[in-house]
Amino acid sequence: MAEVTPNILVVIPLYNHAETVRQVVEKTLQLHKQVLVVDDGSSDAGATVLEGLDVRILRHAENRGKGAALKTALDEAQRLGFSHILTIDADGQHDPADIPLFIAEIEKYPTALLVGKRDFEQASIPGSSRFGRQFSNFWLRVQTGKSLADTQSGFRAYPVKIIQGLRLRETRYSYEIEVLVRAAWAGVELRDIDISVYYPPSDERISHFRGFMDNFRLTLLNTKLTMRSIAPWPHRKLVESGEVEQKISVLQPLRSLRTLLTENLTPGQLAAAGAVGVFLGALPILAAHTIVILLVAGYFRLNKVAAVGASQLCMPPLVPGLCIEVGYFMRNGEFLTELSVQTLGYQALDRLYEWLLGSLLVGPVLAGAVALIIYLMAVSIRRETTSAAVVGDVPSETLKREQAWTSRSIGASWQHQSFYLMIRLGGRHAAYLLLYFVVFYYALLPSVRRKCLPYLEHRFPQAGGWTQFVNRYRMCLELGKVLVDRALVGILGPQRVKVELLGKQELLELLAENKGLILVNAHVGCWQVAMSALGFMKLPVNLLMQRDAGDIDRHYFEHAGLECPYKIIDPHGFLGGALEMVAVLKRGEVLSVMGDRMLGEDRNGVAVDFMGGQVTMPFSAYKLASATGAPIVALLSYKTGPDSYALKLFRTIRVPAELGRGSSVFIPYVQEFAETLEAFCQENPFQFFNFFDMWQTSAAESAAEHEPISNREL
Amino acid sequence: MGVKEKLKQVLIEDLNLEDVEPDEIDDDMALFGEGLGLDSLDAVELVVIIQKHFGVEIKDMEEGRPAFQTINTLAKYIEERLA
Repeated sequence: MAEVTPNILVVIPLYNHAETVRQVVEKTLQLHKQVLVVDDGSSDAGATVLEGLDVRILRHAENRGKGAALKTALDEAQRLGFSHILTIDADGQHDPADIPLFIAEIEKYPTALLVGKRDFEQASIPGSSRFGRQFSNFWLRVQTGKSLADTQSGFRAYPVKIIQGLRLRETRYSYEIEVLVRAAWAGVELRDIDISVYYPPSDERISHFRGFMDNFRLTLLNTKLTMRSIAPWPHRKLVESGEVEQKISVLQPLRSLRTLLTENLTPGQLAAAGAVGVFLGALPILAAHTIVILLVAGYFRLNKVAAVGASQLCMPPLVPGLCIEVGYFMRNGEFLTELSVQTLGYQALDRLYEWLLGSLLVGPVLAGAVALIIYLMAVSIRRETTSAAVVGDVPSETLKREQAWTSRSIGASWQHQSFYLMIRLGGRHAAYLLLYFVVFYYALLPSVRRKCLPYLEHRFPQAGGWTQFVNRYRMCLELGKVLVDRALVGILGPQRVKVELLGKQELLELLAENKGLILVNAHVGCWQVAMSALGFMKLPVNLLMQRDAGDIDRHYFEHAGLECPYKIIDPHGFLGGALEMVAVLKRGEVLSVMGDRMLGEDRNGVAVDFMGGQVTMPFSAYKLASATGAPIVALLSYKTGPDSYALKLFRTIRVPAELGRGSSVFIPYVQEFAETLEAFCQENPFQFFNFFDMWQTSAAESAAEHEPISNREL
Repeated sequence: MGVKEKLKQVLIEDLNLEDVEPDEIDDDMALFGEGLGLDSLDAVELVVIIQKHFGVEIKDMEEGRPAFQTINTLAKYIEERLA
C-alpha cells in the first residue's frame, strides 16, 4: 500500500453522558481538529452541552445502540473521505492525550484495527470488568486464533474502507466484539496499543451496559461466531495476507503437509496440531470431535486443518475398537472377544466407559506417534525444499547422484537417534513397530520412490501403481529392519542375531589354497551383521570402503564403542588402494569388496547384462584375482527371520592369470557375478538395497565419466 | 641391460603401452596419473610384472608406496632386494 497520510476522524459515540462528554471533546480538540459526536438518542441533555465547540454532531432520533452509532460514524467518515476513525468513549474513561499514540500507529499499520489496551493493574478497575475482559478475550482467540489483550476496550482505530467491507449485524455493545472477529477472519491485523485509563469511583460512574440483555446478546453472538468459525468454508479476505487455502486431505499427506508448510508453519507446530487432533479424535466425544478439535486448536492457535486432518486417522472402527479393547483389558484383565448384541448393545454404556478409559491410554500414544511421523515428514520435505534452493548453480544431476548414495538422504541424525532410542527402550519389537508406520510414509515420499524405482521396475516389470507401492513399502521395510538389526547388534550385543553360514566347507577349502580370498559382496541383506559369521576364519578381513566424515548411520561396532574389527582400505588412497589390496592377498588374507557398483575414483567398470538391461560393474576385483591367483566368492547375506540371517556362498569365480590389459577380458567373470546377483534377487526380491539407477548408462566408457558417487556401506 | 632399461622394456611390453619407446620414458617421470599415465589396475599388473621378471615380491604397502613413483624409485627398490 502506498504511503498515504492517514486522514483521521475522531468519533465519540454519546449516550447519556452529558456530564462528561464536553470535557472529552474539549481535550480531544486540543490535539485533533476533526471530531464527530454521534448522539445515540440521549435522553439527557445529550449533545446540546457541546454548544460552541467546533465539532460535527449527528443524532439518532431514538436510542439504537453503540454499534449503530459506530455504523453511522463510519458512513459519515466514508462520505467525508476519512481513511480512519478513532473512537473514544464519552464517559471520560479514555484519555484523549493518547490520541497521538494511535495516530503514530495508524501511520505504521494503515490496514490494522488498533485496540487500546487498558492497564488493568490499576486499582480502580472493577473486578467484573476484569473477568469480562478475560472472557471475551478467550472467545476471540477460540473463534479466530488471534489474540488481543483488551477486546472490550472502546478506544479503537478502524480503517474505514475495510470495516465498511465487513458484514456486521450487531447494533449494541456486541458490535465491538463482532467487528473484531469478522475483521480477523477477513485477514485484518488486530493490534494492541497501551493506553492509560481512568475509571471513576463507582458512584460517579454511569454505564449503559445492561447486565442481562447485553450479556444475553453477547452469548448469542459468541455462539453464532463460534459456529461460523468452525464451518469449513473460507472467510472472505479483505486484506491480502499471502495465505493460500488449499485442499488438505489425509489421503494425500505429503501434498497436504507441503501446503501447510508453505503457510509459515514449523514442523513442530504441525506435529503439535496433529497430536492434538489425534488425541482428541481418540476420545469418545460422540459426534462432536470436529467441533472440539477446532475449538481446542483455535484456542492454542494450532493449525486447524492439520488437527482435523490428523484426527481422521481415528475414524471408526479401528481406533475406537482399539480403545475399547484396551479399556476392557484395563478393567477386566482380558480382551473383549465376544462381539454380540449383548456386549455391544445392552452393555453399550460399559463399552463407552471402556472407550474413554482406553482412549486416555491409546490417545497420547497414538498422538505421540503421529506427531513424530508428521515431524519426520515435515522436516524431510523442508529439507528437500531448502536443499533444492541451496543447490543453485551446481549441476543438479551430479549432486543428485552424489546424494543418492549418502545416508543423509535416507534420514537425518535425529531420525536415526529415535530408532536407537526405541531399541534401547523396547528392543527389536518396539523399533520394528515404529518402523511399520514410519516406512509407510517414507514409501510415499517422491525421493524414496525415485530411488526404489529403477530396481523395482526391472525386478517387477509388470507391476501396476498399487503393486509398485506395496513393493516399495516392503523394500523400505526390509531396509529399515536391517538398519534396526544392525544397531541392535551394536547396542544389545551380537548374540541377538543368529547368522547361518552356508558354504563353510567350500570357504575353508579355498582358504587352504593360501592365495588369499576375495569376497565380492553386494548391497543386499545386511552384510555387516552377517560378517560376524566369518569369525571362524581367524584371518584379517580387509574392506575396501570409504568413510565420509559426515556419515550418520553407524557401523554396528561403533554403537558398542568397539574398535573396528576390520582393516579398512580407502579407495581414495594411493593408486586407489591397489597396492594395498595386492599386498593383502599376497599375505593370504581376506579382501572384501562391493561388486555391484562403482566405488570412489574407480573408473574400471564393464557393461554386463543384469535383469534385462545393461549395468556397469567394477572389474578391479577380477583383475586382482587374475594377478594374484586368489579365488573370488560371491558371498551374499539375507535376512531369514526376525532374528536370523544367512550368509551364503553363492558361487566361486576363478579368474585365470595373464588375461592381459584391457577391460573386456573380464566381462565373462563379472557377468558370472551379475547372474549370481540376479538369482539372489529372484529369491529375495526386497533385500536389494542398491538405491542407484544402475541401468542408466550401458557403456563402461560413459559410466567412467559419470561416476562422482561416493560409496555407502550398508 | 640395467634394471632401468629392463623395467622400461617390460613395462611397454606387458602393459601394452602403444606408441611408447623405451627412451621416451624419463627416469624421473611419474608412473601414475600425469606422466606415463598408468592407473591403479596397471599398478596391480606392475606388481605381477616385477615378480615375474625380477623375482621381487612386493608384499608391504609401506615399502611399495615410495617405490611406485618413478622408474628411478622402482629400480632402486628392485636393486636393493636383488642385492
